[in-house]
This record gives sequence, structure tokens and C-alpha cells, in this order.
Amino acid sequence: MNANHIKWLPVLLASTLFIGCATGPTYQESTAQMRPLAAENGRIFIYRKTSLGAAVQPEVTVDGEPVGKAKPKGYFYVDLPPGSHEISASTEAERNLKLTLDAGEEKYVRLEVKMGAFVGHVKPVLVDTAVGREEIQKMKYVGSGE
Amino acid sequence: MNRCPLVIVVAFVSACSTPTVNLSSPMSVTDSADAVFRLEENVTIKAKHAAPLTLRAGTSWRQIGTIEQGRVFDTEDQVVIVNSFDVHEAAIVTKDHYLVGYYLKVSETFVEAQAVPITLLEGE
Repeated sequence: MNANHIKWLPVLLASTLFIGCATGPTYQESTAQMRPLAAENGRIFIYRKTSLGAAVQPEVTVDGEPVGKAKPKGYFYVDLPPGSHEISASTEAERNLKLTLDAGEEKYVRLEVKMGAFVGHVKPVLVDTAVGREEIQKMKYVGSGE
Repeated sequence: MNRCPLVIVVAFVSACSTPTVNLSSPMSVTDSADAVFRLEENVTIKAKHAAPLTLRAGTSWRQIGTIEQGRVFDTEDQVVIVNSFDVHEAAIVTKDHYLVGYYLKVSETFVEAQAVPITLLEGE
């Protein structure tokens, strides 16, 4: 490696950090287009806060149905009937979150990247509403699979 | 030999899952869940293979039912989860002024925790 290569190394490293990051409108920009929540449903916001392990972007499912992708710094939401639901993301192993939802309720699920035996795991974790509302402000809308 | 990765993953998952206890009878729901209890001091719950969880002082709790292991309390003031290999939304279980475990809301099972004293004062 000569001096010219070394000069470009920081640029190369920085660019790899942003590969696959969400590119949609910010939460603030997308709230105007957000559909109203039907009275009989609850809403779950799902977001991935960091770019750590950006190459790992598994599909996220709710009750076995695909609803979106775990894109770094991206968010999406799903409206669901009240009751029990299971949110999953799988790479080499499936990680699940089992939760309940009431009509009119909003819940926030953060997708956390964990070490795996061969590749990273993406783990859905329920967070406090106040924490979720604050963290999602910096995310970009990446749509849902509904 | 080509099953080796699968075996490793299965072994990893089973080693890190929180053990749950099936209830001999379902939770009996408390009819009068109106009474509000306030948590006097922070309490940290530790269960096997799960991340410790701190319940914050000042949070409000309502008794939602009773199971054989004790009284089941829930709150809207903070998230209560059993954060193990998988994550389960939960309520807390107390007996004789000790917090003894979690009640998993979806699977309706019990997770034992290290018993710690807990003070829930009636009234907001």
C-alpha cells in the first residue's frame, strides 16, 4: 500500500459506514403523510437506530408476515388489531419479540444489532414510549410491507 | 459435519433462553384493578439469562391478577420486558412484599427472578 492509497483510506471507511443506510424522508417530514390510526387498531413503530452491521438488513415480520426491512437509521410502522403479536428478524438465528397491543395504543420497537456466531443478529426490543418518540425523530421513513 | 453450524446455533439459543414455568391454572383476573400503587424505591430484577431490569421509583402500578406464585402488577409508566435471547413483554409478580418474578403476557407463563424486597404504596 503506497501513500496515495493511505490518503483515500478514511474516505473508503466512511463510505462503508453509510452503505445501505435509509434514504427516505425524515420522521418529521413523513408525519404529514402518515395515515390516521383506525380506532379499532393499535400502531407499532419499528426502527433501527445505528449503522452498526449495516450490511445485515434482514426482513422484519409481524406474526409471520413481512412488514419491512431492518435498514440502518430507518423506520416504518404497522397498524394491528388488539391482542398478542410477535415481531421477528432472522439472520442465522431468529430473534423474536412477543408483545400485546391495545386499540389506540402506540408502541416503539428498536431493532438492535447483536453479535452472532457467523453474522450479526437483529433483535427487536420494546422500548419506553418516551425513548422511542425521541429516538425516532432522527430516523428516515423506509415504508412498510403492508 | 455440514450440520455443525446449526447445532452450534441451537446450542447457543437453548443455553441463553430464560427458563419459563407453565402455570397450573391461568391468571385469575382482578376485578377491582382501580387501586393504584406507587413504587417507593428503584428495584432491580435479575432473572437467569436475562438482562437486569430496573423498575423506577415513583411509577404507578395496578394489580391485574393473581397466579400461584403471587400477585401480578402492571404499569403504563415504563416498559417491562424479559430481555433474553428473545424479548417478552411482561408484568411483575410479588409475594409477601418481595418481587419474585415476571408474568409473560403473551405466553402466560412465569419467569422466576432473584427475590428482592419491593414496596408498593397504595395511592398515587
